[in-house]
Amino acid sequence: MENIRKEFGKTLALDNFSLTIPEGSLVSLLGPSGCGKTTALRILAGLLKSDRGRTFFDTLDVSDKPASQRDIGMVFQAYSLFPNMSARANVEFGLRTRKTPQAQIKKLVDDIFEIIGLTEHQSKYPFQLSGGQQQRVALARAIVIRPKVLLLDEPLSALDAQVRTQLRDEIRRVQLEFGITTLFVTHDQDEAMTISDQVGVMHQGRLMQIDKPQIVYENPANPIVARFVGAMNEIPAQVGGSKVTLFGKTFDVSPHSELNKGATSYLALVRPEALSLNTDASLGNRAQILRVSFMGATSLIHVRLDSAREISVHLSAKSALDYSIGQEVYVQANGSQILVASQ
Amino acid sequence: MKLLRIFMQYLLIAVGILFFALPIYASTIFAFQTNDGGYSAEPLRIAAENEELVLSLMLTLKIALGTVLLTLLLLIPTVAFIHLVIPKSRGWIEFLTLTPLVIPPIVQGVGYLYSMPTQLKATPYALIFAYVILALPFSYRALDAAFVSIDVRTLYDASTSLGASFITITRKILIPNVLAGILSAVFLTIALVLGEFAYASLLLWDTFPTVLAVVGMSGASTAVALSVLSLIGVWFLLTAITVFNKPKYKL
Repeated sequence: MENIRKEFGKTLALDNFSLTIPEGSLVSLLGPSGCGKTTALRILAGLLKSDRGRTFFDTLDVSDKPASQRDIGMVFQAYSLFPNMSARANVEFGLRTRKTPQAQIKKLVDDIFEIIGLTEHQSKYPFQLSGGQQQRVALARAIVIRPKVLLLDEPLSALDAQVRTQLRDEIRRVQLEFGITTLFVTHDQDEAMTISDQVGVMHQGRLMQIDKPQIVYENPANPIVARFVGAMNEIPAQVGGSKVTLFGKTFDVSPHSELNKGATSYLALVRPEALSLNTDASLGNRAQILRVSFMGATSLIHVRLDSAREISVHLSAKSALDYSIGQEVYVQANGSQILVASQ
Repeated sequence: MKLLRIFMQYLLIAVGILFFALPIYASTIFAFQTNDGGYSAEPLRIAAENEELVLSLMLTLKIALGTVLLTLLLLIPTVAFIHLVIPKSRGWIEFLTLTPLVIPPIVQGVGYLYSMPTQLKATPYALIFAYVILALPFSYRALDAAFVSIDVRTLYDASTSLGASFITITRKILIPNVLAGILSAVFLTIALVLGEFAYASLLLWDTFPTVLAVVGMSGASTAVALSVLSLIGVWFLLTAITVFNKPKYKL
């Protein structure tokens, strides 16, 4: 997608949006509601026309082609199986519109039902299937036609947590098995981070950053991305030139910081795992432990600084055993660079 | 207290049934009872021998068929368009479709007479156009309700993403999933045409209801017998809606 612009009335949904999905990879678009991610997906699908910009599949310009001629497969947020057709008839639908020979239809559909593990449910109607089963059939229907691009529009958001995790892993397994170029749109960062080759973070119609999940998390391109992806503490800090002072220590200001001219106060954006606790008064700023959230291998310690600001610190569950609620501790930041935003 | 509530519920149902059943019962007795207290189908025999009545019934059925076809041809794409493209306008459009209910038939009829091209005034089938409008409050709402019950946008997008053309989508996805609404619209339209008097009378066409009114002046029992029969016919159609409303799948 190149330089796509889309407006709905006075609302600018996409602004100079460009995105390249490498062949065979799964790219996620992540962002809050209304950031334009679904608009981007619908333009890629051909279900919406952009006001400006072009869309290509490889080198083929498909900008003026309707969805029915783009060779895509799509899974929607809402249950989209055709209610008047059985699960099998739903999966056969795309093959029939492509006039695939009957023998081939039978083999492809048999195979795909086996892959998604619903062979014994194929004669059922959508209302006889659970939400998770319906979305698996919808996934089968989308990939059985071997589309050039698979588009997933928040397909897990209507499902409960356990089914969501299962189906998320299944989507990745099937995507890798078929090697389908896939765009996955979601507002759930866990989903995006766990199954994607690349994650694109969107904000107000613009793509803020696109990169490998780990890079987006560890090296966010700007404070907006940093705040949206993962947990982030926002702590008042002193900035002087290219240095920032936090908890008595001086760090380099990250080049991705956002330092507005004329700003007088700044916030250091620090991940909970980039902070540590100790009981030595000479190390860091004083704080009091408010709560300890046990999270399995790790624990999140919530503390209140003397400035009354609450922040959280990520520790291994074992280290967290050294601390208790109400205890006085000292917080310090680790690393060499800190991302800073004007307040 | 609970017993009293149940009693009141049944009482209300019984009153409702009596309200509808008593006039029909009285009409049936009036039409089919002989002077000696027995029953006879004589009024129906007289009706069957009345050529004018039979012809008017045939004409009305043809007009009903035309009305149904034109209604479906116009409304299915229109309602689909409204739901897919301008869903926010549904409220206004629904309000517009209700206007035939609030404008008196005499006003509609005269307006219709003046605006109709002269060539059309010469054929009773011109009534089809009037009846399509007159049936709008029922036919539109029946179809609209059916489209509301399915997620038209998602089903349309899903089928188009699978390569289906608009005709395929309409034939294989939209129509089967709104079939109950289509049948409701069809039967309600037929019921309306079978009983419409004002337009036909104003435009001087001998449809079943107008001929029935004339017959009623000379042989009241024949007219009442036919009215009861047509009422039963309409009931039969409404029952058919209920039966057809139960497909093997659920929406």
